[in-house]
Amino acid sequence: MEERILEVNHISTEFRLKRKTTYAVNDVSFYLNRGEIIGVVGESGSGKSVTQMSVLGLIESPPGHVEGESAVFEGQDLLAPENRRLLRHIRGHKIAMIFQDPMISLNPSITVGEQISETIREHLGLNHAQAKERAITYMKMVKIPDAEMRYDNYPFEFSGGMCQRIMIAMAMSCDPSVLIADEATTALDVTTQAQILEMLQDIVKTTNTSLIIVTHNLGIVARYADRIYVMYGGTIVETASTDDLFRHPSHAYTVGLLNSVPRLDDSKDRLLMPIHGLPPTLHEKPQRCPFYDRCTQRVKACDETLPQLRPVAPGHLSACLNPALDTSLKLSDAASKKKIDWDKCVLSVRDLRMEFPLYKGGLIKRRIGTVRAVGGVSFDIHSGETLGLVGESGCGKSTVANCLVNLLKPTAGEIYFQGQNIAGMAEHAFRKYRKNIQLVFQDPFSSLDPKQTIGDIVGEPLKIHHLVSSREAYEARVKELFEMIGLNPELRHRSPHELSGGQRQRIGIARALASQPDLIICDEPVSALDVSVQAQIMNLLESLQQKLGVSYLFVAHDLSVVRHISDRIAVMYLGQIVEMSDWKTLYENPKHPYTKTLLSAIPIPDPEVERQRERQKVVGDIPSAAHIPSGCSFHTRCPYATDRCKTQVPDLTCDQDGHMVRCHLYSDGADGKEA
Amino acid sequence: MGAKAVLKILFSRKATAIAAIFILVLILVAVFADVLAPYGLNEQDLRHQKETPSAAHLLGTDNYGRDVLSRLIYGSRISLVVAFVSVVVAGVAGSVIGLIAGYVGGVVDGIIMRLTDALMAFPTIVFALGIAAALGQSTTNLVIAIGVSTIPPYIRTIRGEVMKVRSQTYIKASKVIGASVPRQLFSHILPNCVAPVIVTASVGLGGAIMTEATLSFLGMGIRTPDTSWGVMVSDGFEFITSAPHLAIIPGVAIALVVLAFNFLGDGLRDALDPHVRGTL
Amino acid sequence: MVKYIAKKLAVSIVILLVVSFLAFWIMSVLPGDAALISLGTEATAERIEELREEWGLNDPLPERYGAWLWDILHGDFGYSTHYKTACSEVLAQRMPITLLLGLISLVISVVFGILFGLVAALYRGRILDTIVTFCANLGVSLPVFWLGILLTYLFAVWLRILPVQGYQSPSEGFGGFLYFACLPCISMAWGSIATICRQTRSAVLETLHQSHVKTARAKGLSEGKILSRHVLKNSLIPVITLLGFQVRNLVGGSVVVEQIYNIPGMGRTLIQAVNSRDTDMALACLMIIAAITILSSLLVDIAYGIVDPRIRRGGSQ
Repeated sequence: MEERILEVNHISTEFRLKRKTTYAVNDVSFYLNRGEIIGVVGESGSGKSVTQMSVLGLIESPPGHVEGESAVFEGQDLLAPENRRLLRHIRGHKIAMIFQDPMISLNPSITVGEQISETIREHLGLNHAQAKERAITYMKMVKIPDAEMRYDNYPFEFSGGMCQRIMIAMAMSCDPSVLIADEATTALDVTTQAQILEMLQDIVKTTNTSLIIVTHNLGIVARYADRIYVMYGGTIVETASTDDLFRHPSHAYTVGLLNSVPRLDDSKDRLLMPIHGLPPTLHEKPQRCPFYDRCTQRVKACDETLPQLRPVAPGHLSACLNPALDTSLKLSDAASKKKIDWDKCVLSVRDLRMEFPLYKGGLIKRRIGTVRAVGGVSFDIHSGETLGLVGESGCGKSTVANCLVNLLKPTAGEIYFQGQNIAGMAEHAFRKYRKNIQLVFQDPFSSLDPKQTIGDIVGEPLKIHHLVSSREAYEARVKELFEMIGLNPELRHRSPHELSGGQRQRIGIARALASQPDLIICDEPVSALDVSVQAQIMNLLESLQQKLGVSYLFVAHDLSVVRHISDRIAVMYLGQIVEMSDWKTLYENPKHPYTKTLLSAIPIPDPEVERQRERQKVVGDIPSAAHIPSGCSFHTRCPYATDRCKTQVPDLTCDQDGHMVRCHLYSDGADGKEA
Repeated sequence: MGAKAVLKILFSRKATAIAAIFILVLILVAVFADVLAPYGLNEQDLRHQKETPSAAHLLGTDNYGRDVLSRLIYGSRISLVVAFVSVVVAGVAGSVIGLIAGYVGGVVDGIIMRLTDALMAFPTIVFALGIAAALGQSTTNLVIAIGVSTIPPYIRTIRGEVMKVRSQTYIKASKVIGASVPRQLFSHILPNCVAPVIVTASVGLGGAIMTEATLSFLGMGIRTPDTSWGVMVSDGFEFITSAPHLAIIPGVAIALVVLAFNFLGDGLRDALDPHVRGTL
Repeated sequence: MVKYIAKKLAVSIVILLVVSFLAFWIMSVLPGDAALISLGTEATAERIEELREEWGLNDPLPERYGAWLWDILHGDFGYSTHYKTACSEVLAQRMPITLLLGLISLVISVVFGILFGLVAALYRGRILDTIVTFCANLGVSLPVFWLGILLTYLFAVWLRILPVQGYQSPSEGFGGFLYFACLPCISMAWGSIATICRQTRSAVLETLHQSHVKTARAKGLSEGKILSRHVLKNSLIPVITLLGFQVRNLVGGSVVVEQIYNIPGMGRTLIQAVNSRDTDMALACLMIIAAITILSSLLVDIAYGIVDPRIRRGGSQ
């Protein structure tokens, strides 16, 4: 029988600052059953976190101000003024919460064990010894190796994934009835994210704890949640069981979101449909549909009232007034229009190596080791092609990117560009190549000089390389570049901080395009952007490639993004390419256990597909690049590892279709041949 | 970022706005001292000695019967000029050294920073005292002494700032598009380092006025027949029992100016910080 | 941790050496040397030259510096031409006075600075915060000497409850010591209280907004526990860093305060020495002052290492 454990009715939160009030949460109601996992999905600023914090009384007041009818938890109204004192004893005890960035969510100057014990002592009244014992039990539960020893370690002595485990141990330590995970895995690498979520699911299912997953990631809720609430502009716009929501999305925003994110199982010609415009600022109480300004399917009534949630099917509520929503996917002809010249190499990298010495000591430094960031990487990029370079943080993909544009001088290896080895060239010699090989940075906020206007930023390469002959030609070219990236040239006198993240990234792309390069290296160009904006940038990059025939090296950690844009893909692990092939083969027939793990770790926003997927689990954290395991560097985490893997380094072998893999499982096969 | 936006934020705060206006008025007073001062700097009226404020002498007279208000007005000249010039000396020298340390790095940076640490081992006043004594007493030497002894904070500020800005992605970006070293340095790094120097200088002006006054009080600064506020406090201290206003009034003036520069510095800090600006 | 301390110690010694050279160099430029001063204006040029030769004043600078440093390392600070005795003897009498007053001022400024800063942070935006913040702003803007004069006027001239100037050693009676030391210590501490207060306030406010405090709230800890266990320690780290500077300012303040209140401490000795071209004495004072500030920043670094587990554990990052 279903038991309502938490029922929140009509809660609203506003932040009253001197000059303006922000209506962050408006009249939100939701419920949670015992043992249930619900997902609350929304982009940044949708009010999804604030809602949870409001229920728990974690909103700082002033400036925050929470109002609501009720928030009943196990029969007690958490919003009632007389229960304010009680709320503190519920927090951390009956309802626990874990936050986004585990490294900064733990107190840096107290040992992790003490931070867990502190909670236990506070709520369960145990003494120090008992609390420590219980804390260690829970550290073991979240699979912290050597829990007894690590009890006295400080947060900085753990990796991000381990810190999040500690947070979970802390949250679970008093056996709560409800656990709220607020973007708990967003800051972590995909394989770590999968491990943590998998573990969370196991824990709540075995202890019959209810879990609220607050996230922007549709895939995660599709994989783990029983029921979903979609939030936008401080309101819930749609709620349904997970299957219903993905099968029959009934709100224009939900549809827009689903159509804008690339999926791991996409067909190549699916058109990503970005949601244009910006989320509402919420400085006024909404009088109409909050999604109105950005909606492509709005009707007249949407402008007139604030739509209320109404049932569209049993258990499925939506606040959309369009009775005939178009939920179909559109196809694009981008792939077919591409012109790739497979005989012409733009760039060839041969056995690129980058090592950083590790020093210790202050006045007299001595070398205590080596960080092998890149250990022998070779690949070609053909004219008009996009090569995807994928891997988790620390795999060396960004180091490779930096070596290609001469920001780092590689320890060894060659980089051939326009028939010349440019690896580690002196800056003055390299300068003539600069205009032909460009870089788009990850963070659109720090990559633009705050003291320049965006027009000057885009025009600077023209001046540096003397690409224009007159003031008029300069102005005309800057204007042309602005139009190319879809920004109004009138904006060129603005400062970067006046633009949104997506607009800034467009400026970064325009700057790279200004000198008409043959190759653009895109270093995680969309990972700092909101999901609905990512599609805009991806589409822009694709259309620019069609128009200009430029080649891309697309560096990213997100396999679904890479899949959408790349022709060929290389997967990196600890400084080496472990697998490389055309995109189709890689996704449909991955060989290397690491590639399989990586693919399994990424959830697909479709619960039916998710249920049928075969998933390969991975154990442990990525080893540090200073202590690379012997033999195959993946053997410490590989389920198929043999004794041979521990001692012998596998070579990169290639089958007749050009599918390269670095794994002993394939090196002895009939088609195995040295690459 | 426009100067207009900065001014708007500066004046949106009452304390900063008052401070800025006060400093402006003071500068005008110093410039037009000859017109504004009711009596001459050393005009003595021996029949009216150590008088308390009256209609004829708004702030009273000192032991030689000189008008305190007039001396205060003339004194503001020396106090302000010494402060401004020494801050310019310290600011320019410190910024250049800091820029070198921050951009070149390595051994050069190490040597400069150890030297800076060594200079910081002396309290500012002791350091200034030593230099003033070594150079001999004159207004120019006083400026040099105050200037040199306040260089270290500028070195530290701009070095830290250069190192911070140097590691920013937009400097990397300028390298990628092929910007030369001078272009990186003067078009990208320097403009982004100016703000903290301005703030340090504003607070430093208050500090310089205070140091000048202290040195004059200790007999190492301005000498008669010239006067500064520090000298006035020092002279008035002798008569603390019979005519306390002689020491207290110039002291109030010093405290107010220093307070004004500190408020202005705080206001500038917020106005020039893009993070703060975003929230306003 | 041992390595960390050893490294800091080595750096401190290097800095002290650089300081000693700087001080020696500045003092050697002083117009009028010891020979001239000690013989007076009537001495013949030959006699002065003779004495210069005898005292080694004509040797090149590095040589004189070397000899001087050698002596200092053996505890010999030279001969004071003003006090007509060994500098070390003068210092032995006067240094403890300055140290004692300085230490009392330091304790006062740390206790009250942190207290006021904490109060201001906890009542931010309210009247109490406004008052404390304004007083702190005023505190950093008041010149020490004028504050001293103002306090003298208020308590000694007007209220007549404290002495105008003078000093009594605690060995001659603690009550008497306090009676004389009260105003000098307040004058010295005032600015430091204000600086520490401002730093504490902003550090506490910053820590309160850090994520781990949110975690502590979500754990259901009481506000008192959050403050004492999670906020205070983390926000004290920047305050500790500031203490090194405060010692430096207090020493600077002591020079002025001793002059105002006529206290026979090291600061007053320094001024006298500089005025009378008593080079050895001035150098001795400068070196002691530098040693005190360098030692205090060394102690601050060590304290920092103890508070910050990253340094204590010798972690690489």
